[in-house]
Amino acid sequence: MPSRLPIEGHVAPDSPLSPRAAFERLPWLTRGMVRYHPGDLWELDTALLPPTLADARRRLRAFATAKLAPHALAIDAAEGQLHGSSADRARSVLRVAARAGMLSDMLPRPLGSSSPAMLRYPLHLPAALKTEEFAAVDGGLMLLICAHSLGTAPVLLSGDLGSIRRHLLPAMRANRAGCLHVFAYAITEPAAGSDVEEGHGASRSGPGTVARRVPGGWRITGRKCFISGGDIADSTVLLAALEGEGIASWTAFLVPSSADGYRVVRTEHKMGMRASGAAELALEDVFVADDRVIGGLRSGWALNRATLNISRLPVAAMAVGFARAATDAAIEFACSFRLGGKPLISYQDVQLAIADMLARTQAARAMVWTAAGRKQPLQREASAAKVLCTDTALEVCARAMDLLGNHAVLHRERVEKAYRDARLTQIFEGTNQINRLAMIEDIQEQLASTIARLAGTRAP
Amino acid sequence: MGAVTTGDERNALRGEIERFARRTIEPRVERPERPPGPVELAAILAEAEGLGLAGSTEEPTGLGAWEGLVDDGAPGPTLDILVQVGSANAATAFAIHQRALARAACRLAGLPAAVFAPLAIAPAGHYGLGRRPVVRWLAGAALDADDRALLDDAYGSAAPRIVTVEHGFAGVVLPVRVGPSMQWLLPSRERLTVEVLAHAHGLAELATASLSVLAGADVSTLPEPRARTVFAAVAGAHQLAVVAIARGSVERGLKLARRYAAVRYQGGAMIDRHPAVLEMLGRCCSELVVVDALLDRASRTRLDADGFVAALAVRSRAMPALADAANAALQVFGGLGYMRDVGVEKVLRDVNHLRAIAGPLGELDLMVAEWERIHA
Repeated sequence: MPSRLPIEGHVAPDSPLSPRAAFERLPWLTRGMVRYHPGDLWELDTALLPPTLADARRRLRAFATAKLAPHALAIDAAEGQLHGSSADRARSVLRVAARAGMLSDMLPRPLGSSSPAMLRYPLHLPAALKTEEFAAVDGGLMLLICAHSLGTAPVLLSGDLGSIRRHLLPAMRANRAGCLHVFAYAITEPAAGSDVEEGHGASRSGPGTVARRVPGGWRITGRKCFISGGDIADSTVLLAALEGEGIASWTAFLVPSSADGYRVVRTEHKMGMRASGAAELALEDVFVADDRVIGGLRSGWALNRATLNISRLPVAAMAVGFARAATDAAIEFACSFRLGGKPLISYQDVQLAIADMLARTQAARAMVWTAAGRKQPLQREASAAKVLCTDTALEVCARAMDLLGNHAVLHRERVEKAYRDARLTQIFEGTNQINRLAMIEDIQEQLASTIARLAGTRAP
Repeated sequence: MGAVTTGDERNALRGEIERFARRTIEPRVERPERPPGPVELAAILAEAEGLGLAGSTEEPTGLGAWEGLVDDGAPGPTLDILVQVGSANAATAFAIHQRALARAACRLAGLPAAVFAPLAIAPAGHYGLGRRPVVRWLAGAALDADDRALLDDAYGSAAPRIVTVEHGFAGVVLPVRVGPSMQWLLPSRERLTVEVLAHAHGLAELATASLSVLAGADVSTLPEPRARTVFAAVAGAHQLAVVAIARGSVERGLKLARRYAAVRYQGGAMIDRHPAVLEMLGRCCSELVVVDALLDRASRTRLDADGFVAALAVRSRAMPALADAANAALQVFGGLGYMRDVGVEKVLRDVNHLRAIAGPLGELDLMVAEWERIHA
């Protein structure tokens, strides 16, 4: 219950002029159409979901609050990340997540850890719920956990039951038992960032990581960079071109980090999402057996684009989580910080700013949930959600920082951390510029037919 | 040397600062992921003091920031100085600004600036500038009970103030509400309760601290009209300073982004040939052009109450524009831009930090509108 009503500038909910109180005086039939209980903002959104997903969202929030939140500020503040003093703490959080089924929830029980009822929903919908809930607590820990899911996605999407049985299921079993087996996904190369995220660039780019045929398997040489979780991964799904061919020959290889010639050469110092390492991987003649080719030769590009279509929605969702974190922090500040003898929330301009943050965050979430509701994610919708939600997140975080003023720079207020974490979402899974182009790539037929229909209708 | 006024003198000053940036600052900020610590920053600032960039507690050096504030009430070349130093290192520029403005404020308020060195200044209340009531006070309009309560609270000595300062500051100049007026306090560090707080955003070379004033500090005794004049000049100067430093910082970001875009090959061409990248570089340039126009006018505007309100308007428009420009510069790099050793994310964090520390942006338009309402 609020400590004191009304909030300045408003009538109390029990005032005759309050809409909700006024609704109570309407005839019962009308009342049935218009009355509602204000409820908790988060619960109201959750109630929009089918019961299975609503339950999952509640569990995810409970886990994030109990198991991730206590570590968020300390891990973010630590220098050196997983190679430094915070390594043990990060691994121990990951182990807790593994035991709680958070590293095996891509598949239902008994193979994985999610509810069998989840089979009714596309993979990216629960993933979107999970990334929002975890990001709302901490971007780095979210990425630490969810980069693993990204690593498993190409294996699942390959539909290759042999690979799933040989590689994925044992890892899931190990994780459920608390013995970590972490996956990562390696796309980006030092000379190819955007080029490996969209077809036109790929058509003009030469492969940097190459697989050479040898008896019983392949020898891979090359470098991959900015690989989330690459520093702690036990297995990495890595895309490499076949020797003498271009990116169209990309093939997904599942590379064990114990392989000879496989090295983590660098972990980046990042602006945010610091609990998760971004690694550069060097491969020097690394042998990968034939049974570790995922989805067949030359299917890597297709698996990559399918994975991106699925993973861009969770990126949009994590941006919603950052916007929510910033908004929640701004609300807490406005309700606790006093100026002129009253809480900041009493000032109309502060109320306007917070309402704006809430509205933008809610709109972004609605976009994610709408796009994620489709069985097959549409490239244009996934990219549109990624662009809009990540741009919105940064705007909301900046707005929250503006509201906190000189308090905004303090680590303890969490707003600046939400900003730093959110900033990465405009870049990874394809920059927002690449994602805009991906939308156009996906509607080419419609645009071409519009060109044909309108040809000659305007003077040159 | 007298105050810098002619074109030749300005060019000479620019040359001097360029040499200072190249020889003294650049070698110490080559590793953006490891910004200079307190000792290195103190060494940089000692050289800045040697050049007279932070003004003087005695005679004006002619090169010093905010010296014109005492003479004719306008920023003069100060904003240029801060832009230029800011383009090398924002924290250095901010520390020079603080030392110089603290000295100018002491001179204007009749306080003994020479007793503490280095001196810092935080010309705002515990949450911003005091919203519309401070504008009403500046305009000489009647204050009601709510106005007085807000100003008493915002500028009272009870609530701790969050300030960004040099680690080794020895004293600080703070505005304080005394009766119906606004005076200036000059407590030494010993007369303060100082809690250094973890800040993880920008200006990592400096400390962010919570300051509470103990009894026994020097306080000015300005008569009421003079109190308004001094407040408008000093608080207005601070508003413009953060804009100028951020503008310099964005220039650094743009330079990094241009350099990278000219050598990074993607999509079959250097990326500075792709409209997606050109649009970001262009946006960054355009924001700088707009902010330059605002700062140019501000440098010639006397910081009386009118000028103070104009400074609020400048900060209100310029800081989001500069943050947007810094963000665009980072985006040019793609994933590389997010990494601390590249330097462009530091530009964004520094700009964000500067955007925050002069008070909440949300109050600025309200204050501008209040001033216009009073004078309509």
